[in-house]
Amino acid sequence: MSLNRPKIPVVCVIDDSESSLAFAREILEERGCTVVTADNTYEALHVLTVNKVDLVLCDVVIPPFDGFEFSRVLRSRWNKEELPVVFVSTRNSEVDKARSELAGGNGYLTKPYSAEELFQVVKKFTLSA
Amino acid sequence: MMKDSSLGDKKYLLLEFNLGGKMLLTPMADIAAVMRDVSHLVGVPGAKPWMLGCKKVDGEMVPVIDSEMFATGGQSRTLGNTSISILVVPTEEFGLIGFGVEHIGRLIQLSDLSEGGDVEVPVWLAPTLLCSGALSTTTYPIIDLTKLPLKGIKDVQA
Repeated sequence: MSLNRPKIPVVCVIDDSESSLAFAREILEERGCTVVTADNTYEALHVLTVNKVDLVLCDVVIPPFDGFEFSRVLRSRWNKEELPVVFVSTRNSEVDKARSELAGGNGYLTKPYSAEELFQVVKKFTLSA
Repeated sequence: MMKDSSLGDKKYLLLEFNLGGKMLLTPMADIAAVMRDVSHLVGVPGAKPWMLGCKKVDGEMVPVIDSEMFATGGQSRTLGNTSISILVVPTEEFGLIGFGVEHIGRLIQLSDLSEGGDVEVPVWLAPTLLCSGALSTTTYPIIDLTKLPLKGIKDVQA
């Protein structure tokens, strides 16, 4: 008999701010997610290669190349269904949101965000994972 | 503000920092960006002394202020050394503002917050005091920097 256990979402958080990483990790682990992190896009590529990740939360301004460029790299390997990418930024303009879509992003979350806002985003993109 | 910082039932994630010679906490869910030990700000020629300069945050230039000097009109006791840390906070009226602070510490999870409590903050920070939170034997003031009276912040020129 197989047990139909709900899958634990694995979320990759990419941010060069130690506090932002810690904040996201606390929120998501408290709510049952597995969290992997990277503070630059080179490390993020490695993390995404060795882990089966259900969702990427990526800061827009992240060294050494920005989040939009990084997303384009990801899209050459995974499509939007295989690996959803949500951009996170302090910027909240329609232009930035449009740029994120053009870069292959699935969503956009503005900083600062509440615990509930973050978790709703994760739920939205990992519900069927 | 505080309810947005909730982690779950009665849990809050708060960022520890020093300002005005006091160790303080602020809800992390209110902070747009945290910048530690910034050594260079873009100067604003002819600006008032409380305008420390500007810093690029996600590609946008954000003014960074010495909140003590801004609020009191006097000298800052704490900032003005070689590097500062910055908390970037969105305000309804003025957009993103960077508040220079002396030191940024840990992210702390608290479950018991008290209205008021036995905490003291410098007079100029009194409007920002939300409540207090106890961590082992220490009780910290919890503040919201956007509650500082920011009227006049656009009047930058000295």
